[in-house]
Amino acid sequence: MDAGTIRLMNSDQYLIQLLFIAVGGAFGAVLRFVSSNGLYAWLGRDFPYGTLFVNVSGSLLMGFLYILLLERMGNAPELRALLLVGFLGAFTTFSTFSIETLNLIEQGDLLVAGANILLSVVLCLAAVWLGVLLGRMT
Amino acid sequence: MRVLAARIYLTEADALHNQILAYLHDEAQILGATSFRAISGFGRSGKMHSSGLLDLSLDLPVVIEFFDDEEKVRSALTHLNKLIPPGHVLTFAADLN
Repeated sequence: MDAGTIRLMNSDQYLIQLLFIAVGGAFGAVLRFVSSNGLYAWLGRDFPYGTLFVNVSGSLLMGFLYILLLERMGNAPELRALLLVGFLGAFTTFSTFSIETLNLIEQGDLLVAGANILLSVVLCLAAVWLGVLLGRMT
Repeated sequence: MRVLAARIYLTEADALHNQILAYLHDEAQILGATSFRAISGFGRSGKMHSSGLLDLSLDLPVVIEFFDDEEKVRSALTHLNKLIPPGHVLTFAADLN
C-alpha cells in the first residue's frame, strides 16, 4: 500500500472544486472592478479609495464568511471554494492575507504573523518596483 | 454496558461522510453517531490539511465516531470497509454509562 493509493480525493472532486473557484472568481473580479470604479466616480482619484474599499470590505466579508462556513456550517467545502477562495480571493487577495494573518495571531504565532505582514508589504513593493524597472528596460 | 466504539478518519474531499452517516442511520441503525470536522491534520500521504491557510481549507479532516453492541458495529464495519481504504478505521472496547 503506497502513500498515493490511500488518498481518496479523486480528480473529479478536485475538478469540481476548481470549477467552483472559477465561477466565484469570475464574479469577484467583476464586482471588484465595478465597485472600485464606482468609488472613484464618487470620491475622485486623489487617493486609491477604490482599492482600499475593496480590501477593507473584502476582509470584513472574509472574517464573517470564514466563521459562518467553517464553524457554523457542516460539510460544505464546495461553498468554501466558491465564496472564500474564488469570490473573495478574486475580489481582493487582501482578504486571504488578512484571514491567514489573523489565524496566525489567534494561534499565538505573533512573530510569524508579523513576518507575514512585513514580508508581504516589503516584498510586494520591492517586486512591483523591480517589475517597473524591468518593464522600462524593454 | 460494554460497547464497541469505532472511529473513521476521512477528509472532506473523500465525499464519503454523508454516505457513511446515512448508512449508519438508515441501514445499520447504530445507537448514535457523531461527526467532527477538524482544524488540521495529516494522514499517511503526509499531506497537511489546515483551516488556517485558506487554500488548504478545502479538504479538512473529518472523523465519524459511533458505538453500539460489538456485533452491530462489526457488521456495519464489514459493509463500510468496502468504501473506506484500509488503515482509516479504529475500534476499541468501551464502557457505556
